[in-house]
Amino acid sequence: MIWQAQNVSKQFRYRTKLFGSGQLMVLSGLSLAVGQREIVGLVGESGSGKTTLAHIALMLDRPDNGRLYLDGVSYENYLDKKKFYRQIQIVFQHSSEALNPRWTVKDIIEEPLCYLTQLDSDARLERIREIMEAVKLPSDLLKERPGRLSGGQAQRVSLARALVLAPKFVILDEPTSSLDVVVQRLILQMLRQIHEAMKTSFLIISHDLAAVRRIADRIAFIHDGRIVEEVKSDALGKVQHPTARRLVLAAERLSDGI
Amino acid sequence: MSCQSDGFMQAWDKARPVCRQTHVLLYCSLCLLILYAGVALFAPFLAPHDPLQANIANRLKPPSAEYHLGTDQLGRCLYSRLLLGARNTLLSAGAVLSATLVIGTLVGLFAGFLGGRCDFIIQRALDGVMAFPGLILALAIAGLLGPGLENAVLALSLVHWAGYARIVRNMTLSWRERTFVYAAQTAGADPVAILRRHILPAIVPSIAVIATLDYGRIILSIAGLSFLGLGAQPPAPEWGSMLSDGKAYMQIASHLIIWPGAAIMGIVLALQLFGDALKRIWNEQDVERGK
Repeated sequence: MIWQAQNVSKQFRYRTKLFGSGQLMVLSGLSLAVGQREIVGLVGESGSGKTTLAHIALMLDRPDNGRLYLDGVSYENYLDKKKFYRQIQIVFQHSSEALNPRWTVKDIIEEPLCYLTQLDSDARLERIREIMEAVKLPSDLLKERPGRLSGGQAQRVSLARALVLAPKFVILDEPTSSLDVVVQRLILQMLRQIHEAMKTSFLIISHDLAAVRRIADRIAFIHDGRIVEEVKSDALGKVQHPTARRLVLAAERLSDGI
Repeated sequence: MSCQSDGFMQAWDKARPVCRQTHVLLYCSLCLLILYAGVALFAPFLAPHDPLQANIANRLKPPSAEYHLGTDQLGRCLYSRLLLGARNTLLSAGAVLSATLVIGTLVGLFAGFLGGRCDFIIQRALDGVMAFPGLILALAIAGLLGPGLENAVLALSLVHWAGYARIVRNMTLSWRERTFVYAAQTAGADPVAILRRHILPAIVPSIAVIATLDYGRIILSIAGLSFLGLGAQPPAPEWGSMLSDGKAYMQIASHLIIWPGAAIMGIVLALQLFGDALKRIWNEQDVERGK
């Protein structure tokens, strides 16, 4: 197991008008594991807690209950955040918002190298060029700012930034949702190649089962903050849970239509 | 400019005339500001007379070849006093501005970024400071330490920084939730690095605009304090106190209040225009960046 979540719960408190307040259960006892060199798809409808899980997995938020493990080590034992982030990275949803509009592509991809490695600036630049080649970004984009990038390019920059440290595990939050079908397919193909070349494990969070099942080894369905079903991606026909069934049917109808 | 769409071109065409006007405005106000700075810097060399030398025989003279702007109630050269007053007025306002900017920005950044209980405590402290009228504090400080320009600067700084802290805190709060700040966290950046490299550059343009506009307000506050006798002490020349001294002779020697008044109005106007032009230009750049 490269990454594991055990019984993770998270609720948000919100305020209503004046003195009232309520609680929103986002994750309720979610357990999920990703094996070495495995690609797992986490599929669910909007509001099922997918992005919250991603934030908790990256220590950007704390769970109320439950334990998480990275490479067999519990999150509480990662006192050195740098060691943690060298092994796990994320590609955020809406990748163009994850890029500082004032920075150049080079600065953006270089940021993790600056804080998490001891490489000098020449070695960093070389590493940036390598990774840009791997995600098929032309090197003349190095000096561009994110405002000038297309959606697919922004997604590749985000991906390059996550992969530049060669982490063991990468979470991709809706990596294809804002892209058109052609670019979607290119990105998925590229993920496959990177997975084979760099032996990275991926957790791909998406609402789009049709896209995810192309590359995932295993699909986990999330509903109301917990995993309701897990199947191999070639056995999607056998799902039992009503939400999972609905998603599978929708995906099949969609691919038939295309 | 490889990816210009029609929408972008339309926006560009619309922005261009504004752009030219704005640049003219920017350079004009900048020239005026440089003029003021030059006067403040070289005042001792430019002044034809000693600004402190009184000559009762010459009092309240209208403008003449010898005294370009006339003389005041003690027969001192108004022109020389105006030039040397620039130094006192502009420098003390600059001191207030830099002190408030540094303290306000630091406090605001940390309050906004840390959030939670820390933010709450800082906020209440700011409420306390802001509830205190500047003039009353200046009176208190003048009472404790004696009236003077330095004490007026101290009093205004003590009151003024809270406003900046609040603005910076609110801006920090909104930038902190941006995805790229989370991304910086996963890149291993510590909070200070995030503040310095991501959040501060994002809010600096807004702070700079607010500061240029505020500089004018501070000059007016200092002039106001001097007018009340809490700022610059006689015989030192300062625009506010010159106005204050001149008001008794308004009807027989109106030049005593017209020229210091015009000097204050000029710098405030130049700063307002400069700040406004900066704001517009930065806004356009943001539009171009596609934000």
